[in-house]
Amino acid sequence: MPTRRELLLSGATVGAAVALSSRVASAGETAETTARVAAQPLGLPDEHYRPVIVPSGATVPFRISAGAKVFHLVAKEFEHSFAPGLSALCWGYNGQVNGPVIEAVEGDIVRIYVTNELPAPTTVHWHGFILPNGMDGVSGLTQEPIPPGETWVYEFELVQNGTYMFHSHHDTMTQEGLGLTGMFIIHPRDAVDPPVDRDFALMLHEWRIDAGARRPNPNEMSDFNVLTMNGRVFPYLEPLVVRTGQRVRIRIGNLSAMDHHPMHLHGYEFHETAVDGQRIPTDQQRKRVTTLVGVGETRDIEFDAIYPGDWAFHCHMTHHVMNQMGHAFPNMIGFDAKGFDERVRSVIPGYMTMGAKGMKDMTDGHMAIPDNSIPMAKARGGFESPIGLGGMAGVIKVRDGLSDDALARGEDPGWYDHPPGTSAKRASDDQLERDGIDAT
Amino acid sequence: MNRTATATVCMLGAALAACATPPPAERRAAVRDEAQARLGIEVSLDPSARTDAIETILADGVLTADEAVRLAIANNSQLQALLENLDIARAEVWQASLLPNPVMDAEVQFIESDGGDLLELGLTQSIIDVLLIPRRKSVASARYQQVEAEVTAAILDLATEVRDAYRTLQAQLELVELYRTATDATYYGYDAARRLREAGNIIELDVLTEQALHQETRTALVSALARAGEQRENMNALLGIWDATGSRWTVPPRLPMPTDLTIAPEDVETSVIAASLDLAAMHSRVVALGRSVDLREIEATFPVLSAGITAEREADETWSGGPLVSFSLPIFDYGQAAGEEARSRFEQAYAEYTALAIRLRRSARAAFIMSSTTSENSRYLRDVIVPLRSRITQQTQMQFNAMQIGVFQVLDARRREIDAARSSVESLRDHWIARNRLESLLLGRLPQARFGISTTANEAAMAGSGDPSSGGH
Repeated sequence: MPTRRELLLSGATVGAAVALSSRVASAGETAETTARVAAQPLGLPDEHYRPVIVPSGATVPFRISAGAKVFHLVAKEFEHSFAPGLSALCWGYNGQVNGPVIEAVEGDIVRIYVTNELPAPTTVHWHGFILPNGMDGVSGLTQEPIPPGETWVYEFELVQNGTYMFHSHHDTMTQEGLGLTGMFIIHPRDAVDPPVDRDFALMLHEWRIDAGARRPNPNEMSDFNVLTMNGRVFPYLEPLVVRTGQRVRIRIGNLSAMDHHPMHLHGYEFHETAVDGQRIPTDQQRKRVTTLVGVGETRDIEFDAIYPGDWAFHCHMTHHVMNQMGHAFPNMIGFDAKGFDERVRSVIPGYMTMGAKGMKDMTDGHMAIPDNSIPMAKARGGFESPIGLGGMAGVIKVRDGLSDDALARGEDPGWYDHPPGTSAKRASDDQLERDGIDAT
Repeated sequence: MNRTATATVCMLGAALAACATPPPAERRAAVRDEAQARLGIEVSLDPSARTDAIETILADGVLTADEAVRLAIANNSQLQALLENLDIARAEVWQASLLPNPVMDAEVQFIESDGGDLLELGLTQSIIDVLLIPRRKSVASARYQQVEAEVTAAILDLATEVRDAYRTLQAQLELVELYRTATDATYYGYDAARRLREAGNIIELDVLTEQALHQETRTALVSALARAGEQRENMNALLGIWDATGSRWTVPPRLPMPTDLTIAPEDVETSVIAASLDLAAMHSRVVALGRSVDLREIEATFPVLSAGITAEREADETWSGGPLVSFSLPIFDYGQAAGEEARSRFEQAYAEYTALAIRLRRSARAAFIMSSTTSENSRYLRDVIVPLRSRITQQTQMQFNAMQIGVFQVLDARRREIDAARSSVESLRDHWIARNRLESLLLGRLPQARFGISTTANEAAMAGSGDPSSGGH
């Protein structure tokens, strides 16, 4: 990332820029575009916008050159870690799943180089953008696909603002399915009211990775078993840390293959402030606790973080908050294993009945399971028991008195310490008697 | 006359002395030595040592394959009966060496006219029989050699049949254990289904399906147990045990892995031909028949050729006497038909001899191929397939632990692992039966199962020892 001074210097040259030619070598072809001069200065972080926070992710660095913000995306295969104990060979941009977030400001001219280090051709589609047709990135429809080994360039002016996305549009099922997706935030030239203090970006995705396999199966159509936000399953997504009283925005994009996700926030009512990049007028914003993010859609939600605590934020589809749930597992609830296990062990040493009380049996985690698999979250929060949540979930940690520095460093404040009398406990006999509860 | 009588008595005495009957153990020594040399183990054909053999061999309760062979040879009743053939043939040689008894005839004629009588005395000895003694002895000796070879062959057959039965029983005991484990596995599947049904989670159809699988596997176990019992009885039959002694022995319930042949593959055929008792017996038969061609012609030409003396007392009390010769005149039957028959029998035997040699070569090749392919196959099953199935079970269990699949799949994987182990045991059993057949051929015998009870062990032995093309498994 260039320093602020460098950016300012670069920006200063933009005013004097005239029409320039940009040549990009590519397998005997030359793409030639004419650099345009932006009508306004190119938007700079902290000066023209407050950068988004990408839990467990990053934003794409840029430089300013020839009147445009220049970004470079490298599409390639690499090993991505979904959680400790589960990694897989994914396709992504700049070594990240989901791809790093591109940030710019309405009115900027962006020039985005795309290097294809994949074994297959690819393109990048700028999802929701108003741009020249030839920049739309649909393989065979609006451009030739980018062959492996070549670097192509997209350039267009950002005429909108809001939360957008980008993804491969060549063999989309395979390439999106393997992770070639990312978010593209276009900040408004003029800050919205009320301004937000903490602006988070989360990309939703779903995968099929058989327990013990090392590559997601992009051919899967319905039985996804790894559900992620920013390429991580819960509880391995970095927490969304907020100081009590701050205004929070969460931008959610969904490029799952086949599923919409009803995203539910605990402990708060939030306003749905934007849909697909379109800011909803304040008087039309609805108060909600769950917002459905369809495939290919984005949502912005905002709220004032006035209630301290560790608040879960997750897809409300129950199978989407499991890690590598085996849907071929029979319904074992209520199975009476008395006298069963020890006898079975005579033919299958080490056998133990699983799932008789539910799928959380797995969290004990003392059984031998396939390498590279996380059938159930084993992580602990502030309690003895493991966290009973996985998959497409995160936690918003609202705390009093967090310093700006601590927030800037992205420090995790740890698990919430509940004030006395504010957490659920076993009922005392006195309480039971007082309230006439017969629990004998 | 005195000289003749004396000579006759001397000859009789000599023949008696030559053929004095030794004790059975000694009489059978040649066959025993031959069998020992071929089998490479000590055997006893002494009927008086049968009880000792049982007690010695069964002392520790665990029977080795060699011990089983020794016990069977010492104690098998059918073999004991066959051994009597040796004594019968020996007696026939003796018979062939005996002079035919002379014929005495006397004739009295009463003369009516003078009240006197005539007395005529004759003593004749068949000359043709005397002349033919060496030839008949030769034929009987050849016949005796044939019987010796046949008895030795029977011992080798018994040994092979015991070895087959032994390996088959070993295999069956191992198979029973595998069927038992498989039955347990399917029972637990059925039990799991019942419990899930009780919990309300699955439909009746699922329970019935698991139950059917279990019952079918259980039936296979019962059949395997029955076969093991039958094969044990077969072993007892071969061992000549019919009383409570039959429950005093066990065999180790694991088949050994194949061992290398001590003979180079290219030498197998010639070794089999060289060692073949059947071929040697057939050779003796051809020789005996060859010798009998002349004999049959002579016998047919001169069915009667006798010489003797005759004495006559006339009425006047005077004696007259002289030599007597009588013979049939070879006018109509001069042995042409008998000779033709004998020659044809000889030719037939020779053709059979050639056919046997060819059959032996083919059997040697087939047994070698079966032995080596089943050896390779059983090693592959043991070293590759069974460990692979075992790893599949482990991985299936890990998938179960990760709650990706259910208990039924784990049990099913285990069952397939057991199936693989069963194939491995069956392949090893087939190998040992083929190997036994090859060893038997190398010891000199194309084996025939004829001592045991009719059992599946025999069927397995027959199926396992057939030509590779015949399949049967």
